[in-house]
Amino acid sequence: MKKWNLVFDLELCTGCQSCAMAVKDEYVGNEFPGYAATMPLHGAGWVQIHAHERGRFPAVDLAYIFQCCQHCDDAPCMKVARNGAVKKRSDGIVMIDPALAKGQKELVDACPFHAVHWNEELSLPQAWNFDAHLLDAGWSAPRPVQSCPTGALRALKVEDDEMRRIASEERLQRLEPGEKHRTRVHYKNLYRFTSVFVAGTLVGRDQGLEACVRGAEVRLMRGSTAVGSGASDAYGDFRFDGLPPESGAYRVEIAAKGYRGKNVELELTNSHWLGEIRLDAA
Amino acid sequence: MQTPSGKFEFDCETLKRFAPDDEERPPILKYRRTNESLGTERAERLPLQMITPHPRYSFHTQNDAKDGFINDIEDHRLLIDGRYYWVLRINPEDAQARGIREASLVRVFTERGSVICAVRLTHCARPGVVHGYASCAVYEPLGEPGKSPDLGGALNVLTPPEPQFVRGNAMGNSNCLVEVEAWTGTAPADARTTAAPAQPVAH
Repeated sequence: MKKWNLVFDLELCTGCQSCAMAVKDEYVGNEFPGYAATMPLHGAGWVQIHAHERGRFPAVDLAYIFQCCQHCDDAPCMKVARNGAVKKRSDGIVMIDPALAKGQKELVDACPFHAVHWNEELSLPQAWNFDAHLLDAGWSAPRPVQSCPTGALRALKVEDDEMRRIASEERLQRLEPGEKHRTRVHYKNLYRFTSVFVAGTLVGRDQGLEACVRGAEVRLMRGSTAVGSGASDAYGDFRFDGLPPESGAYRVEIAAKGYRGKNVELELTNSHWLGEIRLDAA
Repeated sequence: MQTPSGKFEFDCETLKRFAPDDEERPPILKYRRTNESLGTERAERLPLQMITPHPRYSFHTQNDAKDGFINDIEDHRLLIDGRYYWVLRINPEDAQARGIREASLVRVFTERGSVICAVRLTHCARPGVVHGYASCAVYEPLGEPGKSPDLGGALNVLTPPEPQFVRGNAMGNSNCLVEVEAWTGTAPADARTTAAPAQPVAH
């Protein structure tokens, strides 16, 4: 049985908000009996894009994260729902029934992804149901996917085995606690949301003037183990990304032709710029 | 190429004829400090440089502030006490030096006027630079028009009206010296929106 999955790539999202606006456009003022009641004009959207900033000037990384109903195979909202108000369709989509769910505010608190929203006016819990009314009418992809100009969002209707293969091949991850609930929304390059980086800038001298040190060998050490290595770029910049936050002591070892080697010790809490590191001539 | 020589001209023949002694736009290009430079005397009172590029989530003023859902994009406007305020971005260091908190209200001003904005702290603005989009769709002065703070977010109120050079048509508003301070005033209810006053900003 082929089932729906969504893949979001953090490297491709520019934060244009087209997906979030498309969902508002679809549901604000429109109801689809059996699928969804109207969405409030203002307030939290069922699909959201949020900026996530790491580091500090001048070493800054800005990424965007896509948030919506994760369409769990083991959905906490289903467990607290009464009268069969939440259904798992055979195509993988989690549906909150707009009639049966009336008054069931506990669905909002049950969602670990904060993806169920309370509609005060209708006294109704609501979430983005993958635009099931459109898919059932023959659409090949839901509106957030259709409106994404960079291809950051993909909708895949595949067998679960095939999805596991794709997830492994493309190193897709799930939002916490998605493994536990077997979510159907997968994230590519999630390290830009979950991990931290260490960066620095190497400064030397060239013909009596300050100069960027290009092509220096830089290694990131944890005790005696190298956890990363690379070369400084034309601006003397280097960066090690994908590190666990609050992960303790590291050492950056720098070896550059024509300069004396240098080590910099650091205690990693959050994304960190080591500043300008001045190298002495050999 | 439609130049007198038919070539790219570093030494511009037509400018030599039109205005050979124009120091603001000499026939051979050279760097000239802007009137809104940190090197001027005004920078002592107005130490921040504000850049106002075209808005990202509306097309100039189109679609802004029509009580549409674009209002709810947190990088476009922020809902504070029932009013959608235009967003100004500032580096956390500059904010801290002025006692300004994330998602609070600020008054950004020059001697030309002042605008009330919602502030967002970001390292994408380097220290000394603040960033807010041009062309919001609202001008809503708190008191006498032209002489009181604007609640709408019309940052164009603050930018210099002078052109880049007198004998030409290029706008000269791409940077602007400003100062920013926390704003603790009270605003009247926002007649433009149906959003509930107590609604928190989504994060």
